[in-house]
Amino acid sequence: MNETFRHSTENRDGIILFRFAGPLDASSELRVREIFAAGISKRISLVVVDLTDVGFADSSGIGTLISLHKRMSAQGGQLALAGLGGQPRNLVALLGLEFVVRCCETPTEAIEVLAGIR
Amino acid sequence: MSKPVKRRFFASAPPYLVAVRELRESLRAALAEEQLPDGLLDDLLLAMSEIATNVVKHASPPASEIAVELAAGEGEWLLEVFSDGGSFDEFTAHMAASGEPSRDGLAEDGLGLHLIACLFPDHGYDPAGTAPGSRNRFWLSHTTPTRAKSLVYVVDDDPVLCRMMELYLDEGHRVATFASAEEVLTAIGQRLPDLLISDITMPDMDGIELRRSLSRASSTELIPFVFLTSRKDAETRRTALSLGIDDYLVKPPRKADVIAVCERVLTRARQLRERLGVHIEHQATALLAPDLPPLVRGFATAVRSRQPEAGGGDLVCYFPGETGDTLILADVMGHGIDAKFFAHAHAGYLYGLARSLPASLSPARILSELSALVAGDPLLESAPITCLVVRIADGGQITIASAGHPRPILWSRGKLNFVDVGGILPGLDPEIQYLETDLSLALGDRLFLYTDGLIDPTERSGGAWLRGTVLREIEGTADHSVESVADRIMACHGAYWGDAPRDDSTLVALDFVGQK
Repeated sequence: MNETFRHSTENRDGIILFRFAGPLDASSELRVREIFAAGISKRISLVVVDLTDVGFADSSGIGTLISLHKRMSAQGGQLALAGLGGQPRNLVALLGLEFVVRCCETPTEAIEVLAGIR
Repeated sequence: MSKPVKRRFFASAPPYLVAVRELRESLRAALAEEQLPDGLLDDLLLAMSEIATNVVKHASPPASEIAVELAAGEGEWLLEVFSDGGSFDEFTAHMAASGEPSRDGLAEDGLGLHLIACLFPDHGYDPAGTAPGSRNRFWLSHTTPTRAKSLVYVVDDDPVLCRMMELYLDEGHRVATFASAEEVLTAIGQRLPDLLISDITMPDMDGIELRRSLSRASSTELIPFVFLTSRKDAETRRTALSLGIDDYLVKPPRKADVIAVCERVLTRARQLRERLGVHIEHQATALLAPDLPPLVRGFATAVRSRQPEAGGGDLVCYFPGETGDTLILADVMGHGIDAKFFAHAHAGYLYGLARSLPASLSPARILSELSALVAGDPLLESAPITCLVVRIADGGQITIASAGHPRPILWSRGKLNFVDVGGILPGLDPEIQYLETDLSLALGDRLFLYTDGLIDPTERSGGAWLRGTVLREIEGTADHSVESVADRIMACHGAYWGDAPRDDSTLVALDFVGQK
């Protein structure tokens, strides 16, 4: 399971969808922060991060999501996480993050939820 | 802790973040075939990553190598991360300060250390000494809760047979052997065994007299008893069986027979004890037995409780009122019979309090009165409690006040939330004014009240798994009856703790079904 880190960014009618695959850890932290910085302008208010293919996250990886949530809140937007499973899901639950950031089963569901509050 | 003997993994890597990932994946591969408790592998991998990442990012002067070692023995796991380079003088203080979870999960600083402290309360850091080659060592350990081994006493004047029985029963039992009935009676006086296996023919007191002697005392008459003898005559057999023994083994016993008989007798004794315990518990502690009417002001209710020993320190009190019914859930800290005694004392106070106060008194005022009472009573003051007072009115209206109690979980309109309610423990400040939280539940909304044995988020490794599993059960069973959800939550708890729960756990589930 020594996966390499991969990512993609899409704009779905103004909602930015980031997809990550591989570990979300200290080795990918800087890359993830760069990807968020490049993909989100001040006009963007709704963001989905798809973690379906993320099998491991540590505090550095979760830290990038917390920073993103804070940034989105500061500019009046909203972040939704999608596809959490296994260890990343347990970690998010341990930190109580699921009560702060909206978590959806799939990216499609997350996009629908965010589109509904637009 | 002493180091478990068996080393399962050792690897080292240069101090790069990518190498930390590789270390983690090789540890994962090495443990793939191991029977680790649920969630422990993930927790170990996470902790290893956090420690190693910390070394890579912050060691000054930088480390030249990070080494990871994992050892395991009888349900114990010890993970060590060694590094050269600069040590973290402030590490221990930082860890102590990071044990408390951030309330909203949004603190980024020290998150990794907080996670380690949360998942592995047993951890430590030993900075490198001044000797050449000395390394910094970060360690953490985990002990899996296991069922205690049964204590078996064997009495026989033949030392060879005693030794043989020790070897036969070595796995899964603790065996103590005695050469005479007198010796075993002395041992029984100090500690009761789970099973006694006795020879019949012995000098001085024989096995039959030993059995009769034990039957005469109420404290020993129920000790499961098996005869082991070479006497096969019908008369001896009849006499032995007439004494109400549990089984009979003939010398020389075969290992398979000994194990089968022991398992059967121990299992039966355990089942009987459980049934008896349930019966006695039900009869003698009706006051503490957590129970609610099945329907309270339009809420279908389910109450479940699990206790490590007979009795326990959780209590549920229910008082119907004219405009609203009051439910009190309290957890007396401590374990065993002492906690049970104080739970009785607190229950007495709460019932007395409820009778002496107007039924309309708000939950916050009830807690304030309780706090003042506890503060003035040295006996109750010595047994701290956490307490939740819930007023249930018609139309799904609920008011909650809490004194140091875990936050209830609300399943409302398809979303899970912890109810934001809190306050200090009763008795710490006799003047305290507690705050209330009002909830308005819609049809199908559910409220879960519980004591901290159920899903304590700061439990050692696996606690996160338990908490996550419980929350997922609540989410995934919205269309089940509240009884069924409560059973499933307790099943999660049972799966986590097995037969050895550490603390009392009580769950009160309320499902707003509306007034019929």
